[in-house]
Amino acid sequence: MTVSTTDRTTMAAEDAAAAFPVAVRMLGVTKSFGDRVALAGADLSVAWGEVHALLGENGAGKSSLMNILAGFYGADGGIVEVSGQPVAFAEPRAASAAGIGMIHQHFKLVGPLTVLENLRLACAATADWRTRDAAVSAINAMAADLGFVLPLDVRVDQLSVSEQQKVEILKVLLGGARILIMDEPTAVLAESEAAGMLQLARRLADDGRAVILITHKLRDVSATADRVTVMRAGRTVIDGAPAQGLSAGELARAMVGGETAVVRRGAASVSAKVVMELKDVSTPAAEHDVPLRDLSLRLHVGEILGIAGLGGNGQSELLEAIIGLRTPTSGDIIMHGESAPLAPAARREAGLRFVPADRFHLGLFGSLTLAENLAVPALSAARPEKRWWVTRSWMRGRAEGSIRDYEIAGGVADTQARLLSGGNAQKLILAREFEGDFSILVVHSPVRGLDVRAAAAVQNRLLEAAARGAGVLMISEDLDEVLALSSRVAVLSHGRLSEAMPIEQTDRAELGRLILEGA
Amino acid sequence: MSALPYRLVLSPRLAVPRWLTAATLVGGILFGLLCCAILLIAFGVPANDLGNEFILYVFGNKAGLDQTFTRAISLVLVSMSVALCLRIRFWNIGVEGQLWMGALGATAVSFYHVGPWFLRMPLMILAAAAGGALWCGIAAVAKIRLRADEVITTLLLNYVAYLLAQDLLYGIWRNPSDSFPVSPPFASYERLPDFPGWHLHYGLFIALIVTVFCWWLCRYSRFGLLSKAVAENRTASRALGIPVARITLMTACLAGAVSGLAGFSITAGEEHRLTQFVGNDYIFPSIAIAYLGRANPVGVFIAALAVAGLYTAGDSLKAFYQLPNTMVVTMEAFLLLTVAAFDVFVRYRITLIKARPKPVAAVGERAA
Repeated sequence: MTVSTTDRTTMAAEDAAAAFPVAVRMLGVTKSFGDRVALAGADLSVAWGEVHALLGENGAGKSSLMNILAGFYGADGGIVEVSGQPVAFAEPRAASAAGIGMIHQHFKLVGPLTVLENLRLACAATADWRTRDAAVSAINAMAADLGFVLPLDVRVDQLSVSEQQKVEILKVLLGGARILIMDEPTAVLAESEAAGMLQLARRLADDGRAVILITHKLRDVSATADRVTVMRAGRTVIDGAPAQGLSAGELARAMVGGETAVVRRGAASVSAKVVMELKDVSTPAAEHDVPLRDLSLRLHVGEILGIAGLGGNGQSELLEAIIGLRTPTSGDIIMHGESAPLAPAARREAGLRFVPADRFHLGLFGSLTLAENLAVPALSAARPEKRWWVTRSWMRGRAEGSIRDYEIAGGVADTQARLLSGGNAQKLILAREFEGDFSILVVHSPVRGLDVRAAAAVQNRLLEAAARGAGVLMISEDLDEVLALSSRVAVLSHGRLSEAMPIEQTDRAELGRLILEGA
Repeated sequence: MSALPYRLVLSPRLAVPRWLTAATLVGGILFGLLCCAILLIAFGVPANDLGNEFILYVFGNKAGLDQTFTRAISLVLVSMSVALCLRIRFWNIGVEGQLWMGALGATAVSFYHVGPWFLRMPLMILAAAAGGALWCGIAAVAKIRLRADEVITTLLLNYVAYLLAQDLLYGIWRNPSDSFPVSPPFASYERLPDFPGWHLHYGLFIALIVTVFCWWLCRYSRFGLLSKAVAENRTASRALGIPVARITLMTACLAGAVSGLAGFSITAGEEHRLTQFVGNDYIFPSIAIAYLGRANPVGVFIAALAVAGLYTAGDSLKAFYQLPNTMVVTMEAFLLLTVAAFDVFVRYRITLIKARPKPVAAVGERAA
């Protein structure tokens, strides 16, 4: 380190580094959010000077563990030590004073301000920059040391994603961080940039810092990490094993688990009839989106085709492309043997229904009542139930049956939809989408956030729909769910879809490998 | 941190009872009137004359009522136009332009003697509605097709309509008899009749019919429900097959037509010709009234009456106390501010709790 942004904390951290080889030790950490257990005794131990990979599926508890370390919330139980000192950070500021810096996946920068303004704003408390010039020279020195080329007077929202990430890294380092948490730093970067980012992580560790690399990518682990910790369902399953000693298969098995048997449905007699087909569909690349790349699939009558994969690999984009909110740049979407109409309304008329992952973004109208939510698609359809005079009693009357059949609890017909719990909101969407005839159903994470009973109810509805002859495309980030319900399964990774395989011919380890490495 | 013995805690409300919404609206208006009263007293209006000015002069005698109701007609119509658009989150800042276009439409029918005399007035009404609908429709099409921000387009179209009217008044429509920049006067069958003995004209019925129609439209029609959905979430609406573009265009055209009717009501009911002063100073009041009435047609009707009353009171204040015209605008702004501020009672449950002394340890920790 040639740059000195040192203040007392950094000095203390450096002294500590010499005295305690272990930078971070977390033992038996537990954390619950209401009924949901996020961490059920997680361990992590990171040494100075190493890149430590933290691996796990969505919801395995990686983020919860790191948020506790970075002071975003407190642990319910367990021990957290930094440089040998037990700590319990009350707020992120306390954690960053102890030399912990987190580089979030979604950057925490102020878009309309320039790079310099962002850095001065963020480091006002830690770096003692009296003048603009002092700040500029400190920043330039640090940037030069890391090999960054950054224009300081450009607004942050005009930078590319990788440049923004560099600003974020500068921000954390100038703040005096000695323990760096990088949350999927390569997820937003192109291949070539990703390699540079991993080299940077290596370099920062070689300088004597501790780098925790949260990642889904096995390549990142083998290329960069010294040791690896794998989490599953809130527990640590591999605790700091040397990265070189583990094969990709072992890591994948550790991540997705192998002990639960695959639940197979009775010999699914899938019709040969194709109800929907996607041919080489690509979607435009835009910021924060994962574009689909030459994605092809065939959905048969009466089957549930499971699309497995980690979140953020193109799932929402796939759903939006199918329902017509996102126009493909190339490729065809074919429904019932004909090219699908462009307008979402026309696709709905053609028998397409969908259940989105975000229930209030694409699913429901929060300020409308249950009855109104149920009535909206019926009233906008081309033919049936189109009427001019819409009375409350008419809407209530047609809603009551659905509320009873779908056991939508905690609501009468006149309740606003936003007051419903997650499970009941999901049931309301199902009640609405299952009204009338449909032949194609696309669902995305249908049981996310639901309790066991509600999840079972929703899953039974999906099986019913398939049994009635609809083609069900189930996009899910939960591998267990995919294995339990689908008759065939394909894996979505970086916007590419693997070949769909009958469920009998797949095993968890193979799927885990596809999920992590792509086809 | 604070040395106060009590703390205010604001917690967001999940469900808002109807009576509370109404009560805060009334509370906001009363508080705003109190502020206005203080302001007027500060400007030298005797306190015991205030009741006289506000209540007796505005609602207590025929001249005041006459003036208030006549003013209210056009205010109801232009505010309804803004309110209809607000319901789908379309910002109609162009009621003046739409009003001018309505007035031009009506005047054109009169000027060119379109149709026989007994069809003249219905044709004028249609032309006025069409003119307004066209002017707001242009902005809606620009929004749908070109993603042009309607705040800018509707605002600028005001000037286009105004300048077009000026061009006509100084050009081919100029009154040939005296060469003033006004159109020739309307024939008797082209004028809205007055109520016998009043200046108030039958335009009141237009305002009432439009209010009832809009109330039905918002509350009981398919269109009303679907536009509620569109206002809440455009993306979800599109995904569920709601014709978002069509609803936007229809709402805009309807709102423009309603503004256009205000132009008809002023030319055919008050001025009896097209003048230079047909469509001035409506933009701010229309938005204020639409907001005061919570974009609800019945609420808008009542708010428009109240604001018209405020204007009448303002006229009297101007005459008797030499207060400037801006005083009325200031009072209007007071009402708007207090009503907006009282919204906090609708959104949050406010509780006053006794503050506990902060634990000393926490303070020490922070210092370290």
